[in-house]
Amino acid sequence: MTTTTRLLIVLLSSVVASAGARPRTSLFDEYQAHDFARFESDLGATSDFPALAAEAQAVSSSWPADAGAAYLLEVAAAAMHGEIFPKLTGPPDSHGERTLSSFAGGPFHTDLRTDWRALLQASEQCISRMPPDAPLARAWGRAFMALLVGASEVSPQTGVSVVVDLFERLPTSTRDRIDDQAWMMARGSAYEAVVATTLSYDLPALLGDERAGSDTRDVGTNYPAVRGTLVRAFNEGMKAFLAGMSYPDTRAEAAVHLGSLAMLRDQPGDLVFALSHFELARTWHPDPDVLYVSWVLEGEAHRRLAETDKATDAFARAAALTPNGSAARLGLAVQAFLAGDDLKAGQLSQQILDTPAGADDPWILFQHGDYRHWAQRVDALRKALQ
Amino acid sequence: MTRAIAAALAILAVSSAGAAPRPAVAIDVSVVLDVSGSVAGPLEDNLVWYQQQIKDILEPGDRQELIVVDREIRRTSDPLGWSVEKPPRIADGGTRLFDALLTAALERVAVGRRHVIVALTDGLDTSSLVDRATRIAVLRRSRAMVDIVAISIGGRRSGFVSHVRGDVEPGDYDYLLREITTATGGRFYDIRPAASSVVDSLRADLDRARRSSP
Repeated sequence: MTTTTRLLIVLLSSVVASAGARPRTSLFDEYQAHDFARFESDLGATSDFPALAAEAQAVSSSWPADAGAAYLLEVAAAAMHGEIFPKLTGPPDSHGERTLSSFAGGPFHTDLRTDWRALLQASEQCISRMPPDAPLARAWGRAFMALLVGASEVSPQTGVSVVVDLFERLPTSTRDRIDDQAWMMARGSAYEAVVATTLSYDLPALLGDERAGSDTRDVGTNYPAVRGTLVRAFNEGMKAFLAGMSYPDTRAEAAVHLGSLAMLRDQPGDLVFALSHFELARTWHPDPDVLYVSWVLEGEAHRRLAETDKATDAFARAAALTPNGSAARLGLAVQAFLAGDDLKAGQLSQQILDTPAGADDPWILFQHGDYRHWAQRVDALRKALQ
Repeated sequence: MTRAIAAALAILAVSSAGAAPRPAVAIDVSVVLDVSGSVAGPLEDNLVWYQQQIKDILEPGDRQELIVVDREIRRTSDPLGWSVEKPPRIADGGTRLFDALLTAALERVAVGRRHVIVALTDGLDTSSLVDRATRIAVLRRSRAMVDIVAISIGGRRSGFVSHVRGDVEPGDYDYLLREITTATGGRFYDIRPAASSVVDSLRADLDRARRSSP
């Protein structure tokens, strides 16, 4: 190779690099070739989701339906994850600690972003070209619902759950590709998030007018419009989980969710209703995470009923199930503290605080519905593609 | 000087000696830093800045720990630990703010020291387990003083305070935060974007804690 040729190659390389390196279809090519390791690596380095969304809208109709649907769902998920991931920049501070200096994305709220919606829409258009009963279509339906439930949240600005909004407007071509049990459990979880978040902070913006009143009796969940939204979300959630209890695969988890929803409402009889459903769920041999949550919530219900010994026993059972169960340990710590055993409460507190990063409490993952199985859902999707 | 005046002066001297400031004790400060998705952006930078300021206003003998909270609660020196959570968080990801405050309040502090908790947060809790009544009962009985440095929900207008303009009235909706600070003798600070720094107030609070009985 002559020096001139080498120079030309270098020049051409730099031109390609400055133009955005590889062609944009390469991510899809990697996915279609089942080179998932490379796909994940390249996707992780990508932040130009607007370009990927534009590309999807322009050319995805020419892609094979199965690969296109699966690929676009994964890219949509990455868009939802990526926008809130912070960028770590700069040297350690004067105390030798790393600091967060800036965040990569714009607003974190899913209802304020558009790229992922365009990607999901393109994914739905691809899947609508497949028979509803195709294995990949079913795997796609479960992954799709898991992702949406993972994004459940209520905007303090608008009081709207974008996920609930999406559920209500889902096209028939998409709905037909989602199992009834996945549909019911996802709907229930999304509505449960509305109830939990609204009650947790008496979200004011549901009013539509944050300045509606300085008297707290007139704001938040005591305001009729908010109360109406809340009651509807509660009823829809209960209905969905009741339906979820009719499927062998989901009945135990649905029963625990039913109890959890009732505890959120906390009207007379709700705690007893909840306890009966936790007990029922355990007779159906739930998975370890659901079993743990059933005991955590049982402990909390007993505490609210002032049944101290039963509460302590339930929290202890939960703590024995999961080494990183901070909710169970906090329940136990509070019980000990209120009984005057500050030493034990302090020890349990230390255990919670020393939990390693990434060791999630199943109590939290439970609140994310089927999104807690996201890795498995993606795996199933890829296997169906192969 | 008559005997009566001398007696009165003696009484005054005794009373002013009795009112002398209590000797300062060292404090253990638990900084609870909210790293949930809802505080992404300039607000998170603001909260991290406060975390650093608190380290700088500690005195010799004081100790500080950083507790981060999102869907997890953990003591750390790396606020980025959440990035290894699986599955990755999307949307706000969940916040266990109230449970984190309880966990910190239950920590035991050595005899003769005072425990102060400073929560840096947007104030939104979505995932805590322990109910409100129990929370307040525990905090009231604990010997921790809780300061909350938060963005008022009432101060939000769009995009989680990224682009809030103009002065607005203090929020009407912070009562769940204010009842925590009231129960523990701490203070609530609203740091909406237009607000000036509250570092001096925090310094005064820490000093007050040093001089109050453990």
